[in-house]
Amino acid sequence: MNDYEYHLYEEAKSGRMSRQQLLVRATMMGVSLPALTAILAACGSSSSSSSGGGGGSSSAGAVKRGGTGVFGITSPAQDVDPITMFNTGSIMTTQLAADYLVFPDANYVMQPRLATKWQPGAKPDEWTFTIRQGVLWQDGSPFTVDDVVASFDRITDPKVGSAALSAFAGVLSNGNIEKVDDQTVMFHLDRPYGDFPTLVSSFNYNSVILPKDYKEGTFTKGGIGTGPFILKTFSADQGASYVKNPKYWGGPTLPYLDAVQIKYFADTPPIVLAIQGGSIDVFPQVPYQGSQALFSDANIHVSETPSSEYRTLQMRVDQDPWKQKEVRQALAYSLDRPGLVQGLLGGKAELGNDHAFAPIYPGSPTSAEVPQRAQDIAKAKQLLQTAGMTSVNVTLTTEQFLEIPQYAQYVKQMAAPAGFNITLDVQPQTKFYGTGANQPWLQANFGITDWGARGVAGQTIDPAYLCSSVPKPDLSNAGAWNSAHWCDPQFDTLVKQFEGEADEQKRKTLAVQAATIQNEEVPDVIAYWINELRATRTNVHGLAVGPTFHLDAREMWKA
Amino acid sequence: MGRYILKRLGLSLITLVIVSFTVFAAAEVLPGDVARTVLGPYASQQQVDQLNHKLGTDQPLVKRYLTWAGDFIKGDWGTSPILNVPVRPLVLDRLKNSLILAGFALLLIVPISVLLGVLAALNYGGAADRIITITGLSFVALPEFVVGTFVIVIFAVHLGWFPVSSSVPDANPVDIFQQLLLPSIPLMFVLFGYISRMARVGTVESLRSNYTRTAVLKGLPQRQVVGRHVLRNSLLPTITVVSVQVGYLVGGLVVVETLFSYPGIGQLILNAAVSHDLPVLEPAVLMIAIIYLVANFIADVLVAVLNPRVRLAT
Repeated sequence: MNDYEYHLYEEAKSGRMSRQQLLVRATMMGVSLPALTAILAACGSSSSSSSGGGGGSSSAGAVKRGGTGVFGITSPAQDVDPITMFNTGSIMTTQLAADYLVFPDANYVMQPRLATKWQPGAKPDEWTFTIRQGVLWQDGSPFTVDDVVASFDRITDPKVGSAALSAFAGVLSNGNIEKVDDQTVMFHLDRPYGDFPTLVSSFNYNSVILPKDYKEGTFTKGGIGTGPFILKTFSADQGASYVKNPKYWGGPTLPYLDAVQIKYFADTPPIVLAIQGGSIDVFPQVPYQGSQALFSDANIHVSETPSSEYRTLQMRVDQDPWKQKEVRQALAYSLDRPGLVQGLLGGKAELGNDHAFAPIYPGSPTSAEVPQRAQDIAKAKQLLQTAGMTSVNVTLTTEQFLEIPQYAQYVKQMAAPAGFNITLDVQPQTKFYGTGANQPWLQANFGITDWGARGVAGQTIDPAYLCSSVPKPDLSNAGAWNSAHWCDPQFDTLVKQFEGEADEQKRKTLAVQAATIQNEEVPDVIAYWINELRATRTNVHGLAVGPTFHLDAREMWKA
Repeated sequence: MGRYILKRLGLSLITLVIVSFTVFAAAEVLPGDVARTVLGPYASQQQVDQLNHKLGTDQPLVKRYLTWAGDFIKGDWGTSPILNVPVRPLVLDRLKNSLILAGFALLLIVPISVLLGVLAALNYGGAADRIITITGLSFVALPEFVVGTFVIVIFAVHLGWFPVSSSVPDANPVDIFQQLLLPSIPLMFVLFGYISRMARVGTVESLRSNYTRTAVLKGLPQRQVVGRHVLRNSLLPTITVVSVQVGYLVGGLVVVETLFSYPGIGQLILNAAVSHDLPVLEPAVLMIAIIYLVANFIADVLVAVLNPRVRLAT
């Protein structure tokens, strides 16, 4: 056992970390299987049941091979390229055919894929990944370490403009990926980053491993990747079809299905009808609003998993009336969070506490460590008085997306008794995100923005809450998404220490300190963390239940 | 007659030029730009500007229009920067799909609507008239997505008689009915009200006319009175209404195409507008305009054939 493994063993023995938290942290830090077994034994379980769990109905029985699995997803509405993709339709289309070095399961436990093992250096500013041997590209040529180096050189190159740049900002720079030997690649980071495997997993979805001579814009011609299925046909607004990859490295066992098909839809209602009517088998990412019919359908199983997907209710701390933190706190105290969770998401969410450490991440502060904020109108009024105000007139700018317009309505109603007169400005999503120097979501005085699930707290905090992420007036610093324009140097220091720290107790202490500052300063209200939903016909088995914007069908089969 | 046709053709061409320029200019005011959509929100402004330059979207409007119009006529419709496929086969394929759906819906609904409209007129003020008129009005008032969802839930989800998502049928008549009947029903609801009402009004007017009275008084059987004298005159406005609806049926089916995931041109146009895919948007809208013009042209000629007063008046 190395130092870190022994440290985890101690944590397990003392009962300070749950089995689930141990698994997430151990796989993140590349703990070896024998050590992991010992650690889990210390907390009273074995490592054999560590997977993220299959979906579909629970009584799976013997695997049945063959057949075609059909997925219904929102159309990417454009050609798909793994390097620049940024919407769910494109990501899922890619993931059926291509691989990552590591892949998360539904509990955010990192699973080996094209990397068989990984470990940080003495400090986590160097990471070594061992690459799987004997893997073939779908055209039959051998997969090598050179392909891995080329893939990361490509997406860290500012000239290429990959969406991965924002995730790698300040962590991994172009040219710092080194081929050590034919089996090993080393990442030299800009600073210690203990969660680095997340950034080479599908949580940083552009970090797909592609051939070293890959040409941008050719992915949908088909036959590119090392994944379980070979892309055969693609039409950006109709769908894609795939056949089993006979050369798959997980074979001959995997994949179970002979073929998979994706059908693209423009909107949620047709997908709901399609799975009810049986023309698709899986609706991988189900929004609660508009999908209620699925919950009572006997032919459909809807799985529910906690996630780090959330909404910011951001207040520009550099503009009136939000400059004084009492005004921001007043708004935070005026919201009935359990009421929001019930009214907007049918109870399918966890309560938020105005800090970005989602409950799903190991070591996130509990409500015992940072007390849960609850509705208190009297306190909200008193806070406004302290700030020298009795009423506040503001415009809440937001987007037409899922439950967000209703959320805005609730905020307007709930905050009124405290003295907030809120006017709503709900814009189409494309207008709200805008382009160039006009991006209302980064500029509005008061707004609500949707944030997808991330693998670790740093993936959200770095672009959204650090001083370096405050957008410039002309929004020229791409990837700077601190929409509240909040900057607290002490918070920055704590977060960077947290990201570079391996000791679990120190991480916990740093997280509590950072979360306390964020909760006190309230740059944005974080009212809830959404539970992700995935719907399958009841004859579908073996499909991981989440994270729901990832699609891994290699173990899926149909009864 | 020849002069009449020539004049109509000339007007159609002028309309086409105006439409094409309007589409081109209107696309300018769409939010966002092509390069940003292609490169995604994370690309730098410099990369976006470079791609816009490469695509020529930073050129003056008139210059771009002239180049584009020339290429369009030559059949070179370019490649979609968003979808990364040649535009001409894409647009023509979707247009063909929409024409198939529209043709099917028209074949079913026009005879039924005309028949019931005439029947209502013949029973003017009676029970049949009231039932047909009220039904028609109620159908028109129901939005397409309501009717569409309703028929999918009943006939596809619960009864399982039809597929939930419709694809383009092959030549097999069973497959044609299987794939197209459900998406046609919301369209029929919309069209039935219009067409049957026009047929009814036209027939009522003809029935009250002097020539019909004369025909009846001279002792012609009712079938001949209706067939030879009434219908020939009463259907003129109906033909015009049907021709206008052809354009709607081909290009305006966004809701039905989305609901049934049918790969038609309406959905293509909507997506192209949202993603600022001008190379697809412009020819696709132009094709709809051409369909409108052709349908109107045929209607004008038909009306002229049926009613000599029209062609003599020009």
